[in-house]
Amino acid sequence: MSYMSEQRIGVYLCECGGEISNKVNLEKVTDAIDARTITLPMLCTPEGLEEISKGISEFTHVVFAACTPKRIEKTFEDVVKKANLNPYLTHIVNLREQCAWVSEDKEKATDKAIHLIKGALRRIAYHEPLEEKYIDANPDVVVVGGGVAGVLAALTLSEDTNRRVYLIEKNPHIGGKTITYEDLTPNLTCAPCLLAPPLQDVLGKPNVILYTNAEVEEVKGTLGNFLLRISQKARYVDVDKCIGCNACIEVCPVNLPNDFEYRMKERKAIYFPYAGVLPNAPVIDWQNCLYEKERCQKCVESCVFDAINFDDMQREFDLKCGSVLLSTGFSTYPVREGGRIYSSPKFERLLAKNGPTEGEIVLPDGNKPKSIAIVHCAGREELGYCSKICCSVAMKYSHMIHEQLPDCEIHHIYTDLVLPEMHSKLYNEVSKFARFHRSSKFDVREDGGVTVEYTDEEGNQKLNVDMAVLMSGIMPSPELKKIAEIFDLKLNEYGFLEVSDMKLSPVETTSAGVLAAGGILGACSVEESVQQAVAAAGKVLSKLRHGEKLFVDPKVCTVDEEKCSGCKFCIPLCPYGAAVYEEEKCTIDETLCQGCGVCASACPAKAIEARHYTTEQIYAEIEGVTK
Amino acid sequence: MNNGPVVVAFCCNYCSYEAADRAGSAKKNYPENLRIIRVPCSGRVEPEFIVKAFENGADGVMILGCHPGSCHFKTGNHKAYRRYLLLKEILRAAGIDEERVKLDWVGASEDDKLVRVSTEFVEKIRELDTGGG
Repeated sequence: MSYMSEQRIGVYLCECGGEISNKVNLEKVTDAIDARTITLPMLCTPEGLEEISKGISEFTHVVFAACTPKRIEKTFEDVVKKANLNPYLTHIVNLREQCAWVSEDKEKATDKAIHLIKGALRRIAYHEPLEEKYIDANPDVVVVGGGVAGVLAALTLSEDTNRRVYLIEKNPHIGGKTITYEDLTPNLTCAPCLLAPPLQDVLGKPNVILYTNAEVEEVKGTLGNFLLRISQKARYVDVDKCIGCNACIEVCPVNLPNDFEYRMKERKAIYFPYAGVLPNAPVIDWQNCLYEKERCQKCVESCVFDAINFDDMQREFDLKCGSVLLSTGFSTYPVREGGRIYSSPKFERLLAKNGPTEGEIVLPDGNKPKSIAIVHCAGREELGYCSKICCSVAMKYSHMIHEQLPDCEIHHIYTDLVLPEMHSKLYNEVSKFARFHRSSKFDVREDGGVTVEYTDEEGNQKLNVDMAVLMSGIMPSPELKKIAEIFDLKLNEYGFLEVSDMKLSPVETTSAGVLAAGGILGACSVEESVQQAVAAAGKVLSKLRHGEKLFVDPKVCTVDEEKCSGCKFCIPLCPYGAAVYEEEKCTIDETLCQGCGVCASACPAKAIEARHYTTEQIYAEIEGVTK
Repeated sequence: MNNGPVVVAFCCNYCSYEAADRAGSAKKNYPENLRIIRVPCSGRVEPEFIVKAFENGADGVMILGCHPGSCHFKTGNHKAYRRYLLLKEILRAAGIDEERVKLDWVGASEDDKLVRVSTEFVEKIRELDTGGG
């Protein structure tokens, strides 16, 4: 080091009120080390800190021999910064927890202390001032997925009116799966009543910009500065002009089965997926619309608001934001349905007052069922996990069936009942009228009626019922793979999105600035989705504040371009995707790097430096503590 | 003054270094021979660090990381383990007894384990030194 001769290293020794000085002979330490030492009774007290700030300016580098850096680092950093010394030109020796407190032999402890301080002295000679950087960050957020999680996150984020929230929804409407349910477990809350206010709210927020029929196609950048490419399919109806009067739908001559209603109802080529949908504007199914084939313009003629536009086209555009929140939901296990065999999501529509039968539980022939089997755990074995919410939903079905058809026999065929807290209350009520059959295996087939075969403790059983509902397991949505690819995210062993840390960062993905909430992370109830959504919004709010810059920790890894051979060894090693290959060289994105130094240890050309833990600093420390 | 062998221990910031602090707070003694060097992650430990320690007269080196699956940096400890296997080969070729290097997992709450493994390791090194290892 060229400026080594100009270094003036000071060592502050802390007696720690005797905690250190009774176990370590600090006079002997002072004699043994080749640097200016100042011994104080307590470095961390106001008096101690005052002493430090008075004397520190005469040094270029400072070693504090005191307690664990984990406790005292921040305190010393503040006092050092106030004295205009770069905090990275200091080092703390853990003389209390890792020396005085673990020894009963003063002579040996003193020798150890001398070596630890020598290590610090050698190391610090190689310390360089590091610059704490602050980068401009965009406070705007893109929320992908307009289900209950996305909407609640968008609402929370939009409280700050300086922030724009872009809500991207692949369907023509928002509300996700929750809006398709009638009641919600465990309290049998009316879902449309519960959801209407937040959905209306999010549409009315001036700083929430909704794009329906839209998907993310490409992502560039990182936390603070993302650039997203969005594609939006044509709707052919101007949402701003349309008032949802239905006039266009009445005149449309095309009749088709409505997939949103599991084909239990028909729709037109211009249609609302179901009544009361938001935004309250229909969408045109271009493939089945007769405009191109027959120049049919009945809907256009019927619309007094001039809201229908056949020239609408698919478009692509860019959005800039500082953070992304993914809430694209889950999908359900595809069970074998039949006329009398319902998957749980299809049965939800049968129960819904805005559904195909206006909430009446009827068989396809219009008759009311006299007996219904609710078969739990459909797909559990294939999926390899319990979906945890279906048992409670099954109890809800039982309750709703019994309320409407009090004489209808209800059977539950289940393996285990997962009904914690409030959900068990629902079971207590349902168990008064429904019958429960425990069986690990079942077979359901339609033969005029429905036959359910299962095995209980007494052997093989057969049950003949009018209708069966299969509780479909929760599984990752099919588009999740594409999303994971676009955002360079990992999926867990079940195909859901992997979080950064299950316990401490449960809504942060493996990419900085990309958060997630709801069914994208695994099976979860509405309340859990909302908890995660609001938690994720909170993470954004605390990180990206309007007009504030983003702190970039200088203790990260950097590549010396001259030395880098472009071998790409570092790229797969980095757990944060911070190492990238650009123009025949490897580079490390400082905003993504977390400073673990794994790349620095592996670089064959020694081109990567882990700042503040550089190879020469550690070599020097090794020399000091051993010699 | 001869205080016996010198053992350098590379401790990761999030687990084993924390365990060492807790051993201190609980006043659990272990041999003074142990000289802890704090690293962000066991994955930061280069095989050359160990070679450097031996060059400088260390009698033994420990690498103490988080348990597999608990690494703060996700998989740094796995990488440390892979390098450790390679390092043993290098040491064997250099004529250094591979028993002078030990990698172990010490969680933040495992102060007892830190005390136990470091005490045992220092004893082992003492045996090797007296036995001509």
